[in-house]
Amino acid sequence: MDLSGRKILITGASGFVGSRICERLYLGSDAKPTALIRNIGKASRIGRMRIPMVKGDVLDPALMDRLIGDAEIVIHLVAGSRQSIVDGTRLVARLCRKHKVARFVHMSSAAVYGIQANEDHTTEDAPLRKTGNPYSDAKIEAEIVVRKETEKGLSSVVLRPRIIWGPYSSWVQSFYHQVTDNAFCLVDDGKGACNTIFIDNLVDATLLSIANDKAVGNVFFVTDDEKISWREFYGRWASFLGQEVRFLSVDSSRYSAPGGKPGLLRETKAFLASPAWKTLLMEAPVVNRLSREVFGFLSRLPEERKISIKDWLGVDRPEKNLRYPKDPLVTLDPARIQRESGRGYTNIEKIKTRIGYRPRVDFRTGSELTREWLAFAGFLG
Amino acid sequence: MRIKTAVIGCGAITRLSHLPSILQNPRFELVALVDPDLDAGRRLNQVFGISVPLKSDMRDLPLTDAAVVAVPPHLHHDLCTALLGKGIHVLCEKPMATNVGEGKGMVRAAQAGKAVLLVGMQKQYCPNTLLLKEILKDGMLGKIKAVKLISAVKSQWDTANLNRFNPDHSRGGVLFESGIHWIYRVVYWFGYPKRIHYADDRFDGVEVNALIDATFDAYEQEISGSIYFSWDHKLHGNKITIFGENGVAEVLEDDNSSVYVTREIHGGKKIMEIRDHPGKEKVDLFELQMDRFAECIEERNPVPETTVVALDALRFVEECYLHRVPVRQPWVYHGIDQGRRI
Repeated sequence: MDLSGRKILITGASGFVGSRICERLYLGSDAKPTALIRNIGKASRIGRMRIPMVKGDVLDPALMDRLIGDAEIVIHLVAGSRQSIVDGTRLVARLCRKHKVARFVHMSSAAVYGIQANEDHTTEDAPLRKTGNPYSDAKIEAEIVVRKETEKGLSSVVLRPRIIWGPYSSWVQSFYHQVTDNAFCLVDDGKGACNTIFIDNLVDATLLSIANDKAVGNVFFVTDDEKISWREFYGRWASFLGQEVRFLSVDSSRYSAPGGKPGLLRETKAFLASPAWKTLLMEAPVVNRLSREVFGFLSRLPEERKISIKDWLGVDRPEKNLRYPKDPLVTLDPARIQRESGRGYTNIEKIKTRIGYRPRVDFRTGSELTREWLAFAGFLG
Repeated sequence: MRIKTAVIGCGAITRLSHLPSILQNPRFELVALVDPDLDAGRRLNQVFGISVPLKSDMRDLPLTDAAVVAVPPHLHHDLCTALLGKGIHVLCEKPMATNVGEGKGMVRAAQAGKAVLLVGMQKQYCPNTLLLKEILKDGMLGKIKAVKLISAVKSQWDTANLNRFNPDHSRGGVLFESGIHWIYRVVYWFGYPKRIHYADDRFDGVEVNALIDATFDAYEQEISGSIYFSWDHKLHGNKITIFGENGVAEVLEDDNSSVYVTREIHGGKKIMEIRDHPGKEKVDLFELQMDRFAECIEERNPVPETTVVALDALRFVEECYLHRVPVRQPWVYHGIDQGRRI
């Protein structure tokens, strides 16, 4: 299918993926994209071009009926709440079938197998299993919705990326903010599988899913097809700073299993380490004095000793950056520990053989493009 | 006697800032809410528990002494000149107009109608705006060598309509819409620059990243300045830094009160926080703006200094756009082999 002159509706267009799809379509093709935006303020990147924008919500039946009725292709990228992901997909997919759109590309996620990339979830046909993570579970429900509509005749393609990176990526921005705040650390020394996909590779896969009719009815994993560890991933961003960033690490085995309930001991330790406990202590004069002495004692301990105590308390250890020798107490997102401790690399043979996807941008080239953007955007000083 | 005031435009800025500051100010009496979308006015009445008459057409405006104009910038000129021509005092949201010609027309209308034209450049009411000027005049930084301004804030401002990204309605993006607050202060502190180099990242829409190199003649010396505005990502440490031979002064984006001066004392760098009042009270810029509006009306000063500086800030922006060059964006063009619209 040739994209030229085609009317393409992009839901969730203001996000990282949607903005780049808009750029690629508007600047590099004769397709006619329309961007559906919920919050106009977040659409600034698209605002650099005269792409028709519509302010609205995928949950609005009348609006979606009108927009999809006018579109030939729909690229569905909506994220956010469970309602947006599941009910929004249900409405959009149903309307796409009703209006017989030529292609409906649903941007799912490899997180349908949980946010941890395990070695037994590396091909598309592994059974979906809810893990208790709200995002993963919502993505599963949305895929099921699409599958049902596809069985009724919807011309769909489902893509499952995992770690989408590149210029403007929140992963990269977040890394620099954490380093600046002296709040970065690796999980398991960064040995986990990163399963990256450079933003332009994902856009290529999306456009190929539209262009190649053999894609219809399929679910595809999509990655850069390079085995990049989290240490290599973050290490690359650190190298751009032009000075040494020492990575500390947390051990994922110290944290409860995915979906596991925190026990009383763990909750107590977490409370003892929390700012709330410290505040409470300060309100009692006697304890105040005692606690000041305890905290004073702790603050004088050697750095490595402090880290081990915080580790014992269950407080995730922040990265120690040589440039900022402060010592903040930072809580690491448990989801991040899960995500970065998985060791499974995703197999993308299906998308390669079925529709001829080849990642065009390798890690080195993508890193260089990202570095140029980071320098422009002021992240590198 | 209270100043009868109409609010024209019932969008987000009216709901969040103008209306609360008018309603709490005893010098003003709200007499009308005007918006073509009457529902927008109804919602304001509901949210604030008031019952102000609603009008959808300016021609139905009741007798009023003053008006707060909070509509998209391309409507400012015609609306404000009409009001000022009738002798109605105007507080006009920033930017005052889409070009300098329109801005000058509004100033002339204020002078002819003997009505006040105040532009909503709220940052002028930050205590540290005046404070930094005093510090610069005082000479405590020594000879000033350079100025660096960074303001990169991820835009979240959810407007009711799409005018913000329509170059036909809004003259520009980050520089025109939000950067102008900083530009106002830069002009106030250093005067109008004698040289401007400007680059941005727009294609045929509005700019989201803007870079300016400017040279100023101020405080009896030549000062080079670099300015960066962004709407698409957040940076830590958004601030203006003034580098002097005796020290460095900083005004932070999210601190309206203090100026931080770093100087070397006994071989070590020390940071001093300078404020013009000892407390930590919150400064509400929109409340201060309404107070200033009332003062200008009482003083019968049609074109206060703020409006003159606001016009210079608009001229600065216009000159940037006039000399605009595109920034190099290899990360955009990569993968676009045959860019058909570039």
